[in-house]
Amino acid sequence: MKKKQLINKSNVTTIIITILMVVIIGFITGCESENTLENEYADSEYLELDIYDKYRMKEKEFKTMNRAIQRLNIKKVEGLFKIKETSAKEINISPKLFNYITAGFNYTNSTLRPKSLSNKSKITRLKSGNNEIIFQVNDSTYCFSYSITALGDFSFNACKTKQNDLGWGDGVPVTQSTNGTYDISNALSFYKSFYQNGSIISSNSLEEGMMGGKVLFFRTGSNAHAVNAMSYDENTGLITYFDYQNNRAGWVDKNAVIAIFNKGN
Amino acid sequence: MLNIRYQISIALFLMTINVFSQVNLPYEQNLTSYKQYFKDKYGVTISIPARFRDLDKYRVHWAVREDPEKHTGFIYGPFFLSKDKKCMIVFPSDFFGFFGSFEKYKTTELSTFYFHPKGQVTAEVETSLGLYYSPGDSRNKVIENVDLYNYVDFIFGKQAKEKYNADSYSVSNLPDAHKTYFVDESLEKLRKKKYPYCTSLFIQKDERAVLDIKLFFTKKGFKKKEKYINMLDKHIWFDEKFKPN
Repeated sequence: MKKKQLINKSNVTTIIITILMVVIIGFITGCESENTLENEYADSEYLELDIYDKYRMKEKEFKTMNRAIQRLNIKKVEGLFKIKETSAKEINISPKLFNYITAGFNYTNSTLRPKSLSNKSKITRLKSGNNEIIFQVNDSTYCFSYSITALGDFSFNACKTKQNDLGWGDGVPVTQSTNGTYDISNALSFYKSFYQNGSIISSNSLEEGMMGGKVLFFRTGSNAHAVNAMSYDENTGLITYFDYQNNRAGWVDKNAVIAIFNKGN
Repeated sequence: MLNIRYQISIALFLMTINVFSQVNLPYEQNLTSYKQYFKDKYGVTISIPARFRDLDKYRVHWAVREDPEKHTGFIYGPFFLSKDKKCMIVFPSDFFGFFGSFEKYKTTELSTFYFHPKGQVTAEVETSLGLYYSPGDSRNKVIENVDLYNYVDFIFGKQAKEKYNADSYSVSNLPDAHKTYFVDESLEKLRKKKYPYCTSLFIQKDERAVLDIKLFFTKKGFKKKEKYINMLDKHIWFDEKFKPN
């Protein structure tokens, strides 16, 4: 009986010691993990700016800022930027640079914040300048210029200027006659001012497969729109396109196509 | 035994079928060729998580709505089904945008938050909400940024680098996802029957490429969608030293 109790006592002691060891090891490991996290960029270059005046900053400063931003863990939560790191030390940059960048994000957040919230905020509202805003749907005035630009041979400004010079700043005219046919002579003339050997190809002559970004017009509501054709599926008659003006992709039935332009040789 | 003329005829016939099926396409419709294309052209290595099986489907049109007046969609394939059948992952047939025009708006180094496919992310949500038809359509309505962020998370920087060696990615849940549509009878039947949830994952490597991946879920699968999304970590990897031909 005594021997059994002794064994039990010994077991209890062993168990307690084991638990203590596990807790201690866990604690040490936890501390190590934290240190590892804090020192992730310890061997990386310490980043600091010489100039903090944005009007005097040069490429070097922008590059340094960009590198610092790359080290941050940034997420967009409910439309606002959230930075996980709370100190400059975590990403091995100067406190001044850290504050400068985080102030920039607060600044952007203040412009993105819904009015109901921003009224409560003491952060000064500043204009956005955020690229994201560009990609809302634009009007289709320059869609033809955008789609020609996408072919990679001419700049958007060159196409837009040409369109304006021809007096088509409000859109290249495509007219529909009473019998339902479209007059696309203006559009072809515009296209040929960039690609002399350009021509119209029939949607009935399309071949299965990739379409190489050919400029394509289709009916959309009561308007016409120019996009770049990506791929044609013979079985369904569907054409996948990329709308370069709005950075959107979609597909259209070939029966809704008004014209497809071929660059020629 | 077949005579030599007959054998040649069969060989020619098979070659014709092969050429016909691959006409004007950048890769053959098999996984090896697909992966090689993305590796060679965009420097992205794709490997499929072990818990998924290949459905051997390529070039399938998918639309946010079946309505032909609502254009938003893309072309997808290959398709993969998780072994627990709670998730179907769909890869794009080609990279999103394909014109490589990232520099257009990239005026300073601070354009870190330029997200090329935001237009498409927005279009998917808008179309799903019944706000958007096609570009230039007078019936289109625009979703406010504040509302958009109820459906979308945009993630930039470190996390994108760790997961895909990319610069940014977005995760968006489509409202009314059960109304999406595959222009493929068998896939549409499968989607309709089992996968009423859809999440879009756009991954961007600046100045190179955007991958548009779709994940379709069962009700149970959607509750653990993070688990399935995380399965793709390191399985899509942009080579840092890649130089296009």
